Amino acid sequence: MSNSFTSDPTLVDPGRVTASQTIRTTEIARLSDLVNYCFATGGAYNVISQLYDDNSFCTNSNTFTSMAEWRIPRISNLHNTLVINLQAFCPTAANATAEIDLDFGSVKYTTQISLTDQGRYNASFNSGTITATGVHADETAIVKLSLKAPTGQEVVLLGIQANWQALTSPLTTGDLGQHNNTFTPQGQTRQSTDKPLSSRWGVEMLNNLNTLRRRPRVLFNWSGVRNTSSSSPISARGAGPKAIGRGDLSSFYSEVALFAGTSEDSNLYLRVWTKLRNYSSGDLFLDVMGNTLTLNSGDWQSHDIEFTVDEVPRSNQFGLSMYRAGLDDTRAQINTVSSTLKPPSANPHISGLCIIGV
Amino acid sequence: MLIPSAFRKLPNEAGCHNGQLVMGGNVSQMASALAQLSHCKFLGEAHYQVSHSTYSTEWGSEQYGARLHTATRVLKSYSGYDYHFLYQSTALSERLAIVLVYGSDYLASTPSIIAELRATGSNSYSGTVLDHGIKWSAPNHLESVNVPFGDALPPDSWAFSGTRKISAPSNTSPDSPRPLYVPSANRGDLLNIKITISSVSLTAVHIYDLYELEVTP
Repeated sequence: MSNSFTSDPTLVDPGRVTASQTIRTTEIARLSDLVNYCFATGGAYNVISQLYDDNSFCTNSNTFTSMAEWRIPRISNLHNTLVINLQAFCPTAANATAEIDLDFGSVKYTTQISLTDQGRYNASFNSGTITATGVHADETAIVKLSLKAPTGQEVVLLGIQANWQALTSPLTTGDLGQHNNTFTPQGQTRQSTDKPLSSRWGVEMLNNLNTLRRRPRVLFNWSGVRNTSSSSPISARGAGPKAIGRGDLSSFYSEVALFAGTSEDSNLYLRVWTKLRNYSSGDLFLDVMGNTLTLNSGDWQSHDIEFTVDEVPRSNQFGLSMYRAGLDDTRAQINTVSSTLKPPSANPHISGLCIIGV
Repeated sequence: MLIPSAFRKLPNEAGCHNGQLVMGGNVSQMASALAQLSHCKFLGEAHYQVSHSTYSTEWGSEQYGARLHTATRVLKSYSGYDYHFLYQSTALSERLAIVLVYGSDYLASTPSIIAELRATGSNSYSGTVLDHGIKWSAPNHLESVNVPFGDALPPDSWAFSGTRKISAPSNTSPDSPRPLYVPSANRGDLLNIKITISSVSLTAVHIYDLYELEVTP
């Protein structure tokens, strides 16, 4: 009774699932296959995507220095392996290393990745994986990146990409978790000819559909860079952005599809995660997608937001309802984001932003 | 099969309980909702922000702003200058739309951006070319501005590949903007979108699998 699936996924013949048609084995088997496929692969694409140019992300520290931090959604409790690809270089190529932490609350998993290139996009990027071995039902995790250069040298990060590794066929038996929701994989043997179409199949399929609708997607994800260092002056190296600045506002967003029906189900949400640094007290107000968020914590902080913005014109070309997911370009933001009047060295500043939808 | 783009209402669970007559409509709604997930919601996407040096002689080393210190500056080195954007594709990544956010400077030379699709075998930046790609150039596809010193700087510009449904291309030099095409053997792989800029600075690159309204089962 393997919970198998095929990739590419198979759809049913729509002419066979209408009123007055008998319910064939073929359609039930294909639906079971497809729902298993969705659980295994849905959302297993980029959760972190960021590039840093102009030698802006660099360090000459010869001990691991924490430099960036992202919040990422967990796509299910079974997707335990995070794949990380780093584009980086160090002139000597010896001993330049990245350390990646994957944190679920107080539980931390770590991996190290050797950085082998000796020049900008010289030959190849470097990959690593972190596998969480414990059982975690967290909805999100935190990814931290540290770099270490060989003594007397500098290491430069050009880019990072990360994604959860998709599950392979067949899925594990028994109920599977996705945060606090349940997914019941569908065994193919039960869907074969001469087997009864059980009431259980329909109930489980509806529950599985609801679970998968709740699976989070990354709409926008950004981390500032900190603790840069270089033997060169900062005019030449190491001046990556620590904080979101006033000049970012006009285009610091993604255009993303959000699906009609989201606001009709209280289990479907848009959630904004922010990370403030240099925070001591008071409230900061940040406008995101037509909502004003109150930031008052020096740690990661989340806000669920209402779906209030208008579609963007590119919806027509994508054939989907597309929205601007990111910071609003409003005048009030000047009081929150960094500027000459509010430099990050002396003020709280936003060093991380993640927007998650369904 | 028509692929819905909305989370439409699901049939009542009680309609699948013992003793109920299961109607074709119920199964149809489930099939439709599942197709929405596999062929719409779970299409891949990646949203890259590109950070640059924030250094400015005016505010020195304060390091804020993911954009450039004088809005979008174009350096002399941004000529035939490459970037590599890694994209974990899905089994349904047939065509990739690209949205670029950039600033340009016509005084340097004619602004242009070339996007090419490569495989990532052995993690190499110079993997097999899967699609020789597309080119945006000024003045047809890109804004080209020069702002006199002291004038207000314009916001970043946006460029787009479009979403046209194309077959496997056979070009060996870049086409006009269109989606990039992923050969069937490479769908689901980690892909490299190599972007070469001239007289342009990139501030964001967005990559999307494309939705199709109707798919043949």
